[in-house]
Amino acid sequence: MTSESKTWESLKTEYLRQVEKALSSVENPRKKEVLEDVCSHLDRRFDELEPDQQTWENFQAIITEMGPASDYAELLEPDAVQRVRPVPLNYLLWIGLAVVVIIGTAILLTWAISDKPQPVILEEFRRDFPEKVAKIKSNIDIASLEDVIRIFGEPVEYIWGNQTFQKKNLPRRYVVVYPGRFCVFISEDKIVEIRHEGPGTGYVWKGGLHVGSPLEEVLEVTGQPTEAVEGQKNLFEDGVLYKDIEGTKGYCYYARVDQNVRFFFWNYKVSALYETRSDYGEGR
Amino acid sequence: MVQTLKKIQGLKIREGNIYPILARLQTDGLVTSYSEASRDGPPRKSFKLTELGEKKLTDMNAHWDQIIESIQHIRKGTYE
Repeated sequence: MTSESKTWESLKTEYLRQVEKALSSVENPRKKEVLEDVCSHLDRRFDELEPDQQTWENFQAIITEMGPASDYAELLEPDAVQRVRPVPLNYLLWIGLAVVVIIGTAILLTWAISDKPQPVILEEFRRDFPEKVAKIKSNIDIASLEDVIRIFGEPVEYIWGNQTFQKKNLPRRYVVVYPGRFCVFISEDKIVEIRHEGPGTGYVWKGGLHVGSPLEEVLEVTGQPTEAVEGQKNLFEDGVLYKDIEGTKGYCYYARVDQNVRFFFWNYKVSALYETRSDYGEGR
Repeated sequence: MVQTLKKIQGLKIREGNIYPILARLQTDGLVTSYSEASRDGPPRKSFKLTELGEKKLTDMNAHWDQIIESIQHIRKGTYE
C-alpha cells in the first residue's frame, strides 16, 4: 500500500466512523446498507483518481463533497426529516423519484437502441465473431486499440464510468464498446481484457460456456474453487468463489487467472464473461 | 445518479445524500434495487420504481403542479 493509499484509507475510515456514529440513533433497517454504499462510493471515487491526482487536497475534496455526517441521519430518519427540514427534503424525495424514472427510461432506451432496433448492425458484427475473438486473444498481450479496430471495426463508443470520449481524446483507462454488449477494456494503451456482457454476439467460450450458463457448469469446466465465500464482500481474489455477495442471492463472482477468465453471475447464471491478458492480476 | 443530479442547475446536493434518500425510498417500498454487470468493472447497484413508487410519483407530481399553479395565481394576482 502506498503512502497516498494509507492517507486515503485513514480519511475514509474516519468519515465512515462519523457517519456510523451519526446513524447510531437511527432505527432504519437499511442503515448498514447506506454505510456500505457510501464506502463503495468512496472507493470508486478514489479509483477514478489518476496517480498524480492522489493528493491530500483531492482526498479532502472528495470527503467534503460527500457532505456532513449528520445529513445521513436527518435524511434516513423520517421523524428527523419532518422535524428539521420538511420542505427541502420532500423536494429531494421528489427529485429522487424523478431521477429514478429518468435513469430507468435512459436504461430502457439504451437497451432498446443497443439490442433491438439495430439487428442489421449486430448481425453484421456477429459475422465471424469467434474468429475475430480468437485473433485478438492470440495477440492480447501486445495488441493495441488500432488492432482492436482493425479486427472488430469502429466501435459504437468509448466510455469510462459515466463519461463518453472521442477517439482523439481518450483517457488512461477506457472501455471500447461494440454491439451485442461486447467490450474491450484498455489501460495504458494495453488491452486488459475483452468482455462479453450479453448473449447478443452468441459467443461460446471453452467447454460451451457462454453468458447465461449456470454456475455449476462453470465450475465443472473451469474446476472447483480453492475456497467458497458466502454472503461476504467481493474481494476479487483469484480462485475464490464469492457466492451471494453481500447477501444478494444469486450474485456471484469467480476468477481463474490460470485460464485467463473472470465470471460475474446474476441468479447463479453467467451475466458477464471477461477474458484477460496473460499477466492479469500481477502486481495487484 | 449522483452525476445526473449534480448537473441540475440550482439543485445543491451532496454526493452522500443520495444513499439515505434511496434507502428511505426502499424502506417505504417505493423503489427496489438490483445488481447488474457494468461495462467498466464490477457490477453496480441499480434502482427501479415499484408500482407504489409510480403512484407516489404521480401524486407528488400532481401536488407539485398544484403548488406551481397556486404560486402563479398569486404572482399574477388572479387568486380572487
